[in-house]
Amino acid sequence: MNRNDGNDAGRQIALDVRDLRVHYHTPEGEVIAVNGISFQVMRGELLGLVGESGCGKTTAAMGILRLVQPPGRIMGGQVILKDKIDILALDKEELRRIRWTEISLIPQGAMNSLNPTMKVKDQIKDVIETHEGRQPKQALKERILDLLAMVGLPSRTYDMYPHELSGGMKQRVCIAMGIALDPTLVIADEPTSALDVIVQRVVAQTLLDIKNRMGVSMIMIGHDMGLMAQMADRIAVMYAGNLVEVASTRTVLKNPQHPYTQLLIESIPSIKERKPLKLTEGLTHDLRNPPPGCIFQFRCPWVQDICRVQKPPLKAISPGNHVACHLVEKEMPA
Amino acid sequence: MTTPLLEIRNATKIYGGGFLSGSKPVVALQNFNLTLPADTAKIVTIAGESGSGKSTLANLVLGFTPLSSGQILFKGHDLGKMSRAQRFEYRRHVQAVFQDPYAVYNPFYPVRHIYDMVIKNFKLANSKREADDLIEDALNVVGMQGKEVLHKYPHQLSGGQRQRMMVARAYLLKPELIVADEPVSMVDASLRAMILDIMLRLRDESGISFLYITHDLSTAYQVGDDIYLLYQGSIAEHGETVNVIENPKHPYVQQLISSIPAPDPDLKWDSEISLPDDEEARTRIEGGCRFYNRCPHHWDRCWDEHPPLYAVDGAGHRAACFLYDDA
Amino acid sequence: MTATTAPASLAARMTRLRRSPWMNWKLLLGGGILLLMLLMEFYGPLIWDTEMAKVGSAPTNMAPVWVEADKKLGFKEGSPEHPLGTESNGRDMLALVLVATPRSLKVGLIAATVGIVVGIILGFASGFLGGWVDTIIRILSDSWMTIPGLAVLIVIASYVEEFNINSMALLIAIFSWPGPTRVIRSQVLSMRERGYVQMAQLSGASTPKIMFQEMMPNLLPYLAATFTATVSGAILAATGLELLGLGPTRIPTLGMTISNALRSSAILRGMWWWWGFPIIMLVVIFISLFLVTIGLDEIANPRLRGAQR
Repeated sequence: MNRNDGNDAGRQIALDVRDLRVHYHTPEGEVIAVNGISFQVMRGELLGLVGESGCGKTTAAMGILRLVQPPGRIMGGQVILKDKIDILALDKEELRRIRWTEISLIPQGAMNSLNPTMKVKDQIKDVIETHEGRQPKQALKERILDLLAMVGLPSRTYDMYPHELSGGMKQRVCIAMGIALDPTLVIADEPTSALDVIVQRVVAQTLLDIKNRMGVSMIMIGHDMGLMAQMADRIAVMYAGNLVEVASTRTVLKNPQHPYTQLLIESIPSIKERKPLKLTEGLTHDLRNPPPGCIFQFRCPWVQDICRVQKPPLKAISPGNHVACHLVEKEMPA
Repeated sequence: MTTPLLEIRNATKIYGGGFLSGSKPVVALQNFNLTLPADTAKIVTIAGESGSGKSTLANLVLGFTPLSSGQILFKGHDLGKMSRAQRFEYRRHVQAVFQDPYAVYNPFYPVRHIYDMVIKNFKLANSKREADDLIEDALNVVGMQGKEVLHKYPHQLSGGQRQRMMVARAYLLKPELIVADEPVSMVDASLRAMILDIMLRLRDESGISFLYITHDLSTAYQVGDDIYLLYQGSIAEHGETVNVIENPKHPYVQQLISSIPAPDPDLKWDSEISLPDDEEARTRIEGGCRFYNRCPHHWDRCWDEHPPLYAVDGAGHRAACFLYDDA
Repeated sequence: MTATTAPASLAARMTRLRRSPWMNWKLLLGGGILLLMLLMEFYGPLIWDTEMAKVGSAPTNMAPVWVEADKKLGFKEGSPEHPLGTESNGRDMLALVLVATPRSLKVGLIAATVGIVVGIILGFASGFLGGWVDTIIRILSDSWMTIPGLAVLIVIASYVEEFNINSMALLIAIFSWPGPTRVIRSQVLSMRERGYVQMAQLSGASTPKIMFQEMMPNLLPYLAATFTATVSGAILAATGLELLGLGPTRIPTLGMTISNALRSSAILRGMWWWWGFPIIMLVVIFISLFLVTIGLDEIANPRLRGAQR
């Protein structure tokens, strides 16, 4: 249904996130986990959401799906799917309807949360029937076998239990469940982090394959820049709850604009040549008390006075490339 | 020739399969050999994926579990034959840093507890002042200061801080060998360099050798002098790190290195690979090469015999594959 | 040799005491109430004439002092001489409660303490040493649990002539040790693999030190919860025995009072104070135990402690 023609000019926006804010109310204060982030995901595109632990990327994903649990709370913003549906404004019933059918999630460690007492076929059947009602047996079986084939699993997986499958196979079952209802957008949270390198490659290739064949948009959350380079079309970089750069993969990896992105890229250990290691400090401020001005001011090697008082907005410096930094001069005319 | 620091001879470890247990025996490590010299400090990487046996090796060297066959000799003394007192002394010379920077701390005590325990048990200091100095010195080596962190509880510190404090704890005893079991895999990417740098400095300035156990070849490439690659309990290839990673010879290692995603959008994975669907049975004690099912070059011989290590170029680079049998 | 304490260091020591994790209000409140109840045995006679807990020491069927008489149901109005009323055997309720509460609590505490101590010894041995020690202890505790405790207690109790609180408590303790043993064993098994236990081994700690310094503090919440459950179970078991007339009949306990009340149709007769006040005391006991459990939980888990400050 959502076959993407790859037509650049006519590229539609699958997801438009505007000023999403999520706070955690703790006894020690209010932690600003996601501080007003805005970005777009195009049809058929894979956006990589990267950042280190505590930067808020998983919280942002939970916010998009309205899965934030107390003491966390969505404080504001809009999440517009397909130009029509504001997820944050839906009522409970409508929300339930679009979950899995329009937008689905493959959570972190998904392969460990497969029900060990149900066969693969029953778990996928569950997903389908919960949202589409009872299905005729034969048609359902064919549909499930199709899904399994699409993720590269042999048909005999249909009748197997999760514990009989390897890690990579279990993860692919989770991917099959995520795409079962042909959603517009799939959010995959660290889909390969617990897997061995070779298996990771297979699962990653599966994801890319699905994206190309079904035209589904994806947000992939992770911290492995190498993996992002192989898979993402564009990359969004988060630091301490803020988006600091959103740009094409090539730009982020070869010509990063924001100082934090540059730091991340330099920290990637290379397997081609031995370089001296680059040392840095970790998160240096309290997430309850973000400083006025730029969020990265304490670690930035080029910090200026203006950075300490004025928060740099995320502005476009060329089509599709945005940076939040006072030092990046060029701004694309509106 | 001086006695080597550590000598592991034909170490084999088999789990399970006992009389009362219901499970089949699992060969975690098979015929593992390694020698660490006493006069030069080295960082030796033991690399492998899950199930390769690398964690088993750590447990064996640290004395947490006994060998099924083979020997581990530390400065000539057999680990398996040590008395309790000797084993206690052993801990002065061989320490560890573990993977999970949270689990190694007892959540009930402030972090200072881990240092006090070591100082008290090994009688490293005669007074509180001496103990404080020792701890401060160790913390400085890892770039931290006592007054900022010692009184805090584990959950109040970041992962990077906790892991550095672990290294400081190991350093307290000035051991000759530190077994680092995945020390950076649970630490953020930008902080890993700090810990790896500490390892390099300890090697160069304090003469401490490391057994660096990891699944991440990129970090191994940056810090290891030598590398041993394990696959399902056996050594697939070993040699100098730079040599092995730039010129892998064993089909498994070749596949492994080519699967590491390069952070360059122009260098995509070159071909699609697929895995055979069955996980190889690890219960084969006899039998041939473990990589048979996934190897593009396998012969009948590979099924019947387990290949020994053959030299593939000079400089101690060897691979366990019949492709290199010159006979 | 006594040193002169300068005022400064005394203040410092007081502050340190106040900040100590053991000064947890829930633990102190719960523990305080329980202590208060236990000591009723000693201060009770000082504040009220506890002899009136004996049969026939007061007019029967009197309501508490603030309740009107009710001719229909047949109880007289209250008087300040018996502020909580009396029951049909002529016992004064206030005296009864003052005497019975510490007794019931003692049964529970003794039985639970014996159970926990045995549980710690066997549970640690089983979990830490493993091997055939573990197998034997496990077989023992698992099969012991299948024995119908109450039935055996009844048989034993019917043979015993004189029954006092201590012997009843020990009797009940016979059946309260398998539960704690199993809980502690399973906790020790999972803790044995924890990183900090391995670290302690690497730091040269001996096995007893590991057990008591490293594992025990983290066991506190489980010990507390097991303790609470065992105390409650013991008090209930005691009540069960008393209901069948197998308990110490001459010395009143809370359970016995309630069962007397039920047998004398106190509910139908509207004499709520007969069973009401004992129940209130039981509820206070259980709430205090609960507070102790939560307090210990907070102490053992510094993360929860943070919420306090």
